[in-house]
Amino acid sequence: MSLGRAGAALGLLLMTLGRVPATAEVDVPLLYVQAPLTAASGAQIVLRLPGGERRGC
Amino acid sequence: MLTPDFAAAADPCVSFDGQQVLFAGRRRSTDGWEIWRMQADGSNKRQVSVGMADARGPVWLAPAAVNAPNFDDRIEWITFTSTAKGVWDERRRAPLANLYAMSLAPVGARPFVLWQTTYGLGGDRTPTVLADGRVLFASWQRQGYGLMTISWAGENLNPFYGSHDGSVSQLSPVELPAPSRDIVFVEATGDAETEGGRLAAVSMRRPLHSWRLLADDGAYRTPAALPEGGLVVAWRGSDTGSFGLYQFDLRAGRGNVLVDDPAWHEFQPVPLVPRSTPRGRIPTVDFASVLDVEGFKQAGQLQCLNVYESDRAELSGILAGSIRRVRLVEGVPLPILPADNVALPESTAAVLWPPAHVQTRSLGEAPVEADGSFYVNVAGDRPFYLETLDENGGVVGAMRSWMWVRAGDQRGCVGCHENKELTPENRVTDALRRARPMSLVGDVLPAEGAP
Repeated sequence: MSLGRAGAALGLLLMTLGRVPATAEVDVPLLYVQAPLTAASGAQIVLRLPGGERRGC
Repeated sequence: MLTPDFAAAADPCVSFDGQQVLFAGRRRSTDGWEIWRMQADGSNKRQVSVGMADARGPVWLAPAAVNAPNFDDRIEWITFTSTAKGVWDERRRAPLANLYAMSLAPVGARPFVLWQTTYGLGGDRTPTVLADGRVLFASWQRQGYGLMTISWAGENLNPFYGSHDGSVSQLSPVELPAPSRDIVFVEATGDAETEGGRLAAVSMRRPLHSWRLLADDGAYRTPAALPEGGLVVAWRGSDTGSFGLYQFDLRAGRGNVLVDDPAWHEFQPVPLVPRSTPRGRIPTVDFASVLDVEGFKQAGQLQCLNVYESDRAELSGILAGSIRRVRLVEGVPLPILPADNVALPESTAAVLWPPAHVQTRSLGEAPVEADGSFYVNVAGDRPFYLETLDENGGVVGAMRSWMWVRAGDQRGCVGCHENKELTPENRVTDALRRARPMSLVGDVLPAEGAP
């Protein structure tokens, strides 16, 4: 089993156990704000296209 | 990234045609926040507001006409919050932020029009425009933020959901598309919007009696409606984690991750798509006002149908005829001076009324008629609360929140803290039978009986 497949299987198992949210996709572009965790400044507006980067937890 | 040329940028709002974006930004970290606009691809950035201290939360309003008497030239308007007045809020916790409305095109000979549209002294934030054209926003009410509505020009202040008797805040409201039209919002303790809270909703039809919990796991922020239904929200599972964006299933009550980088917070999602334009309406203020109070400038009118109409237990036993007069008490915020530019920590003084960090002065008194009605001219665009007085001048009841009448507006009340779903009796009051409303004092209006 490749590393990617192993990761996918692990993700599916964790989702099945309800421990992490499933990934989702919306079919519209989204604007959102990305900000540093600690600094009070530095927030930026980001455009995310449909099918853009998706990250699991 | 659309705003790399800014030290900070936030609060994006997409135009109704999906082509332009309003946002709050500051070029340098030492600048105040101002309102900017850009094309949806980040090009052609133009500054909209100038000298508004910290201007945040811009929202596109319905295109509306103010060119009396034809009212046929609709132009773009926006609303946003600003601390431009340079005064403390009533808790002296932060510079006072109120709502403003601004035209993006000339109006007559004026290159643009800028109106302050809210005057409460607790502070306002997170406005949104409803499909019917009203502005729904969070307004500090003694112990927490509640949801209030006004017309886009600042008339018709009304509570929407929330109470000034509790310490739970309702923040970041958003209207779901028709046919739902439910209002989804974040409920948090106190005023820490950035910490998030639980997700709740009320119906547009009966907002005061339809609260329901959507989710209370983790912390939610800044919900946004998707065009085909559903929500995108910012969420985190622990107090120390990062906020990420999640598609929230309203039926299942849970979300699925869209993007969640643990090295960053992600929040304030906005679909970059066209959407329905809200209803515009002709305002009743400024040069569009039809109110003609001879000899008065910046005046409005207030009439109350029946001061004995109340859902407050302490007022339910008041005998008809025992209230003789009404007093209007203005709230005057404290200026922020360079020498005392230090916010105070939260304290129990916040629940006092009037608030400890506001000066008060009487705008004057007017008679209450036998049927409980009164009708007054009042200095417009000033925060005040009402006190009802007995025959000895003793206070029978007092409001514990700020209200105002926009200059040029005519405003009515059904009662004193009446049931907000009450439809008033259709009758001509004793106060309206008087030839003229009773004038009130103030440094704008002449005193009662004055020449």
